[in-house]
Amino acid sequence: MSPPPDMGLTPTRVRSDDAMSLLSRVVEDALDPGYTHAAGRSIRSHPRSSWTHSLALFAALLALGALIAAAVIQARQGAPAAAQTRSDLIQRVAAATSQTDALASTVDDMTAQEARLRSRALSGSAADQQLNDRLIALEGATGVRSVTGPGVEVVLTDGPPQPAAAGGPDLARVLDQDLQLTVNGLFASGAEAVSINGQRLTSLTAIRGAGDAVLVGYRPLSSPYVVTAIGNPDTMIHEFDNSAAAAQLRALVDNYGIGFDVSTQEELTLPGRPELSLRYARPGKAS
Amino acid sequence: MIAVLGLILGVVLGIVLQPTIPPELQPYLPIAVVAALDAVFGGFRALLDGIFNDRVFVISFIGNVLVAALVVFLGDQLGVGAQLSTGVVVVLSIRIFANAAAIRRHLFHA
Repeated sequence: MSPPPDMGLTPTRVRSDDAMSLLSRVVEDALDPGYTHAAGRSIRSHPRSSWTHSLALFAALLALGALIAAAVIQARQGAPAAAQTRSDLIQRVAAATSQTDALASTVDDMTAQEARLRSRALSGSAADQQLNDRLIALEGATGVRSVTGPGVEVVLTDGPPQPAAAGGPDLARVLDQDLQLTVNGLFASGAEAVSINGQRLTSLTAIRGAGDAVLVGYRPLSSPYVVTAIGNPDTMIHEFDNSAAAAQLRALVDNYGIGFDVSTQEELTLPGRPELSLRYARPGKAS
Repeated sequence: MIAVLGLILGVVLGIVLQPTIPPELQPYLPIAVVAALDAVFGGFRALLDGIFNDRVFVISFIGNVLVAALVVFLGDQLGVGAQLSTGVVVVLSIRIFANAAAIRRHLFHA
């Protein structure tokens, strides 16, 4: 740092060029150099103060008082306003969530009603009956209709909290990619239908992380994550046990203390996900 | 005496009138207050040193407030407003502490 140009006000001061010179200058120069300068000059020239100067001093301190008062009032008003905004937002989120839940249950009701009406309409001829059975089978396979059957249950739980790596997620938590791994492993092992914490997975259901939450079909879920899969329990648990997914999950258990538990189940019921609609794909011609 | 009177009257005026500060000036208010406080502590120390001068005080007061606000404004335009505010507050509070130490030495000889 080069020494600044001498301002000719305090020529006697010693300048050091070390790293602390800036700080020590701030401390040494704490008194405005103008005072010493003016003091030296006022002895020679005009008297030190007149009534205009006193008036200016009065005005300056008046301004200071008003400034402080205004700043304090401002700060006091600002804080509750922020809290108010926050609680307003929380209320709006809660209201929107309950509205979504109500609409979702309406959708469930109407879907069930529609299925009933369709079954009644398609109960006439043998061809109609066949069409109805085919529809039901397709709905089960795509995830629109709830399905039951034997299968495998995988339970993943968060490990003991660890100090997060700088900026990264807490690796002892079950992440979206761990769930993706599990689900892919189960499908590869022969699962016909999979759900996570009651959220059925369809071809359009995303598993992704958003902040600290894992979203499955845009629903935030939390530990423990119960991944249920319907399929042949004996072959499925064997194949899943030998899959790369299970090996990776066991590594997570060893390294981060994540809970990982696989068991066969006699009877599982997986709910349907009614809001399955294709926006671009059109059914092809039946061959 | 007149200074203390002005300060008290200013606080009362501020509380009574509750001046609304335009939103675009609000970020500069706390900085301006700290800068003004620095000028006041400097003036008080000069008074105890026996070299107080009203003209220097008023000019340093107005200058301090304007320069501090200008620096923060420039920082805002350059995208480093928060950092520059911190810098201004640090430097000014070091000065305030140094002046307060000098005042303390004068008043209590300690």
